[in-house]
Amino acid sequence: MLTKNNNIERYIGGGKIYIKLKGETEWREVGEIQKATVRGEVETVEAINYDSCMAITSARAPKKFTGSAEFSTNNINIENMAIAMLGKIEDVTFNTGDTLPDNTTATKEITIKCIKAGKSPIIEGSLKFIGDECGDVKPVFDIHNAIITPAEPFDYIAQEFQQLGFKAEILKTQKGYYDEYRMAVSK
Amino acid sequence: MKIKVLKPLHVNGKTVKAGDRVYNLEDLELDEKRAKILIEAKVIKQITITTKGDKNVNKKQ
Repeated sequence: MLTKNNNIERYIGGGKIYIKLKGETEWREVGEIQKATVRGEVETVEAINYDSCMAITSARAPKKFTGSAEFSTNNINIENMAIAMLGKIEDVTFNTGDTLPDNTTATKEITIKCIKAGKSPIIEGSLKFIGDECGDVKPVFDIHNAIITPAEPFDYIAQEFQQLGFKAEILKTQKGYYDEYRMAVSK
Repeated sequence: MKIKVLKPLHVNGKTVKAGDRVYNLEDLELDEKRAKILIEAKVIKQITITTKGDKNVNKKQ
C-alpha cells in the first residue's frame, strides 16, 4: 500500500548563530551570518564475501560517527576576530609619549584592545543556530560542545565585505552530540 | 603655548601629522604637564610667535 506524504516542511535558510565559549555564561550572537552548514559522517567496516570471483559486501557496520559544522560571518568584531586568530583579547595601556601601534605618539594615557594571536590555540564552546520564523516550523540546532577553528584565510584587503569563516568539530557531551529541535511557528 | 608637531600624534582617535602648522595646546587636547613630556621626547616643540618690527624679537624655536 502506498501512502501520501502529507508531512512536507520547507525551510528557506536564514537565522542567527549564537556562541558560548567554554567558561562563559552568556550566549553571544555571532552576527551577519553568510553561510551555515552542518555535516554528519559515518565510517563503516564491511564484511566482504569472497565465495565467488566477485567480492560481495555482505554486511556493513558503523565504526565512527563524526559531526562538523561550518559558518561564516561578515561581522568582523573583535570577539569574532579573536576566535579567527585563536587569540585572547587584552587591554594594552600606553602612557603619554609612548609610541602607539600605528607609529603615532600617545598624547595621553590610552587603553587599546589587542588580540594576542595564538593564546587560545584550542577554542572550545557551544553553538546554537536559531532559524528564522518564516515557515511553519523553525529549526533550532544545538551543538553542545565543539572545537572551533578558522576555516579560511582572512583578506585584509578585499573588494567585498570581508568574511570570517569557522569550522566546528563537534564533540560528544553528557547532553548528547548535537540536536535539532523543530519548534512550531504560530501564524 | 604654541607648538609644532615633529612626529605624528594620536589625538582623540585621529592622527595629527608632523608639519609646520602651529597649534595651541587645546588643539591637541594637551595640558602643560603632558606637553612637557612630549617636548622632552622631541615629539613636539614649543615655538614663540614673533611680530614683525618688534625690536625684542625672541628667536627661540
